[in-house]
Amino acid sequence: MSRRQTRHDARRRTLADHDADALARRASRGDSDAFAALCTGIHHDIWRYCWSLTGDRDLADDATQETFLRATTAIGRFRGDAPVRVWFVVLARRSLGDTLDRAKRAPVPADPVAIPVRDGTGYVDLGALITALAPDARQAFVLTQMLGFSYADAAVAMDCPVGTIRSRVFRAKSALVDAWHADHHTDAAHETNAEEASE
Amino acid sequence: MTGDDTNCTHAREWLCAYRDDEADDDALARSHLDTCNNCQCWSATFDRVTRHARLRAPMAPAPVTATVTRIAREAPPVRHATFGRVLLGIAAASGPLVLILDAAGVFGHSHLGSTDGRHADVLTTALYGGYALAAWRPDRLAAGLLPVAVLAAAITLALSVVDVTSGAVSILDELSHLPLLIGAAGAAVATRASQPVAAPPTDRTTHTPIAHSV
Repeated sequence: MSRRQTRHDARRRTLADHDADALARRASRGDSDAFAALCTGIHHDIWRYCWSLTGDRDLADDATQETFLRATTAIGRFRGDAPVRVWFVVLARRSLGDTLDRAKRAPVPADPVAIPVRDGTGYVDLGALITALAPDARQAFVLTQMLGFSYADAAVAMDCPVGTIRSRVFRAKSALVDAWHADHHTDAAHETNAEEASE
Repeated sequence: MTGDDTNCTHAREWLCAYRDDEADDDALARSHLDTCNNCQCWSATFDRVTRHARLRAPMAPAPVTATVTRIAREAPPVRHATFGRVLLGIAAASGPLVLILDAAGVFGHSHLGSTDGRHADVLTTALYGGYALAAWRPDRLAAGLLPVAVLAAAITLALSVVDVTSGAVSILDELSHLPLLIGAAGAAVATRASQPVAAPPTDRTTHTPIAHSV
């Protein structure tokens, strides 16, 4: 699986970076059509990001709305120093912090969105595995793997060195592989027990 | 940690970055991956997990899409405050220069001889400083400066009109107040440009839990 292919997969329903940046530059000059197209094209990424950090659909919905409301006033200050998707993620991180403050709770994966994956021995809820990751590793994983950010862009979004992103992505993937194996073993054991009981 | 563990960790970390196009080829790691059964199993699972995470992650629910679309349509992006910043910058730059010329007597008599005149010049200089700060960060400072700037400009203008019509001073003498007026206009323009757009009403029904089919 090449990076080029996966990047295409990750962004198959979102705007390409150069298109998004061009729309953002027009929007920063007050072009409302460009702003509408940008918001429509990028909101899935922002919602996924918010969901990945909270593990909670309602909080993700609130934070996504807050992010785009803030963008209406902040887009005039967009300078294009980083891709607009990175700029939006930074905005979303701040909105998320305020949303969590208002909700007066920490980002606990209380309501994980299911990503059921059937794989030979049964189903694995990949969404639950992702929301169970450590917050920093989870954020790095979502940005680089699910949203298709380069490590450099993810480093800007998370305000840390690129090397830190690299180690966080590795930690996240290692933890997911371990959890995947553990779930499969558990599922396989359950199925074996069920089969033995039925016999 | 054994040598094998170290090799496995190194090879997996390299593979992880290499798959993301974030690492160059590493012959040592690659040769380890070719021979280590554990790492091959890890790699296969790793690819499967990553692929599923990319392809099957949920998209934003439809109500959120509808709300974001409404926000984008009903709350157009705020314009640049460029024109207001230019006016504020002109006022901030020309104001102190005019004060110096005024003190030198270019606009009639000099205020430097009177205590009240010096105090007035200090306050005016502070206002020009405010214009400079507002030109730097119009989104944060222009609105706060606006009432003071407009009042100062309005009172100065009114007094100038009275003085000129009564013949006490010439119009040329009153040109020293021009930066005050330009700054007030700049603060008004910058404030308007940086004004948050009224948010569309949020439809709380969009937060009704919905079933995610992925």
